[in-house]
Amino acid sequence: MNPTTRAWAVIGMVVFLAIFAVVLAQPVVVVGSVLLGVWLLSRQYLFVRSVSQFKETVTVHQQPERAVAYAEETVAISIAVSKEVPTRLEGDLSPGFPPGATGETDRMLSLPAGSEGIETTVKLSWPVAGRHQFDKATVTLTDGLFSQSVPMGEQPTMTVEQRGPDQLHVGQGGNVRSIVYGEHATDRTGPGIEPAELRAYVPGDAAEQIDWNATARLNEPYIREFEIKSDRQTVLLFDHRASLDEGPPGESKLDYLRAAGLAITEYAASLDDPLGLVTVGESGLTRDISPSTRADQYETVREALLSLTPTGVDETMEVSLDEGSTATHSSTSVATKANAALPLQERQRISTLLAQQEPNAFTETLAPFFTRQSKYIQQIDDQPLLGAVKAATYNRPGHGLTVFCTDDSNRVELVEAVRRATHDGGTVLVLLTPSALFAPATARTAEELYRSYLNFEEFRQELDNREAVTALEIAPKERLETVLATNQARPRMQGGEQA
Amino acid sequence: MRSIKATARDESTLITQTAVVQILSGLLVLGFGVMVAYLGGIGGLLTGVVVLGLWFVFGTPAAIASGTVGIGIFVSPTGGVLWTALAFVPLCGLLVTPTLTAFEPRRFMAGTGLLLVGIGGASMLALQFLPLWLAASGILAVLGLSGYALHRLLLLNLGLLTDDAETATEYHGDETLTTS
Repeated sequence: MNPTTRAWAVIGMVVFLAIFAVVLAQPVVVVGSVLLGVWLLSRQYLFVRSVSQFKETVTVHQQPERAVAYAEETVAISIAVSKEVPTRLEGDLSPGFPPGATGETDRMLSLPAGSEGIETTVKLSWPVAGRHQFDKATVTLTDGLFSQSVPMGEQPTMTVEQRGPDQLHVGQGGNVRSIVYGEHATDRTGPGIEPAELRAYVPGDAAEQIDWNATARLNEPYIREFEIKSDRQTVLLFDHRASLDEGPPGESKLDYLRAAGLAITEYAASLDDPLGLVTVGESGLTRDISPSTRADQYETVREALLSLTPTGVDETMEVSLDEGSTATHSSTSVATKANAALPLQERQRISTLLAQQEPNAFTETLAPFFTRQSKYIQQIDDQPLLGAVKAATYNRPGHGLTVFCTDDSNRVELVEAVRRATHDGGTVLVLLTPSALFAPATARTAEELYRSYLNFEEFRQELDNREAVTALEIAPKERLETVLATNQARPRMQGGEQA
Repeated sequence: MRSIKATARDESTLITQTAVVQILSGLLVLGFGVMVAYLGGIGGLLTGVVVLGLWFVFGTPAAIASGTVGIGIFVSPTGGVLWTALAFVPLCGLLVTPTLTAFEPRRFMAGTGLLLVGIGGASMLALQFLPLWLAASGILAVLGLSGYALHRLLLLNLGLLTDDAETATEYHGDETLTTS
């Protein structure tokens, strides 16, 4: 509850009269303090009653017209305030739009005293894909003497699917490239739908392989061969460590990579390619979904991508204990610090010691701080990305595609992980976000920013030059263009093939 | 915070300044003016006029404050305890009159009366038995604490109180301290 200027003026009068009474040695003036104090307290009590009644009788709705939309698509959000009985309080309503939304985000609604309710529609859009949860709407009520903000209403979730290619920059050295993904020719013939060649019939060929049109035209039996199309097993290896949280709310590295990841999921679904997902947190794997073409597989991966939050930043992290079951885990910052400060072995030793003790309040309190890491489905204290590659390729040898979605914060680890992923003949697609484009705009000059970007580009090229590796940058188009524009003689950097 | 509709003359949007309330309040202020003019002579008359003007322009709090100062200067030194107490009656009436048309009038009237009797009574006792500076400080402290208590009550009603118990240290009686 905040007093308004009028209330502060009355409080000032109360104090003034008390001091005045002491200075003039006139006890009777203190009575004025008491009267004014009672006046103010009685009005405050009235305000408390009114606000409490308001909370009980007023309903606030904020509901998007649909729960799923595409990035940059305009969505109408309906805001409604309905009152069972008109109240004498006045107020403003500030909807709890999620961060990252653009449009009429600063829209406020006026709630006049005595009105029975209001309803309006606000149009919003989201530039990047992800799951965006509304905050509660904030109703600020006042009676002229006091004001109070009250959070009210439900918190709907808006799912935003990947942005259009003109918004999300995917490329190499500032040049636009498409994510290399599509049908995969095997250069072998057999059953299929793509015609490959026409050849003369030889004894032993099946009758159904005969191309009757060609046979009639050429006057001898001909066989039509088709190209075999294979399914390509794809594993998305998604890094969601704290460094991926860099960037403005709703436009962090993670958000951009998520948009790219969702696009790959969609491509894989359209081609019926087996798709898997391994997510990597600060201390190991947080989710491991084996590649599959099950009907619900693509949706499972999509849901997992949309619900990813950076580990070490959001203290509530949803992790999968095993396929198909999830557990929500909450920890305190103390637990995070304890886990970060001690090596895994030490944590496990303490955890074991605590488990061996007779249960008491002390052990029950300490135990969660040291067992938290077990929420990771696999703990990897050192180089978790590399560990994730081992997990992704373990029992899944072959010539699949591993897609790294990460940033350039841990370069040595990334290079080693990529080397490991290509070791068994697999191909790798690295989707990299340049940290230079997501760092806070501090005192860095445009030239320094450009040099940082060049440094990133050198690293990307180093990855891209490796055999069976394609490295692409994932960046906000506008920011990238701004950085590149600082150098008038923009170098044309090495580009890749467009698929 | 955007501008509010309640003007200085209005007490708050929760109290409707009906004609009846306005006339009653005006009569009370007029009665106060006549009384202090009778008891305080020219000074009292001047006080009455000033209080009437301040009430008309700025409302009840300004009238109470200026009226009290007038009583302290012109009535109390010559009028004695009884007349001084009587001079405060119209000002107390100003406190109660708006309750007639307030939101939840009965509850508001009861609350105002209770506060007036409780804090007023305690103040009289404090002024009787304590040094003036201590009594004044005590009254300010009681008013401040009461205001804070109402603030916490509102937060409790709205479910906005943070659970301080989360960091509190509990003693379980078996010499084991736990932090819950």
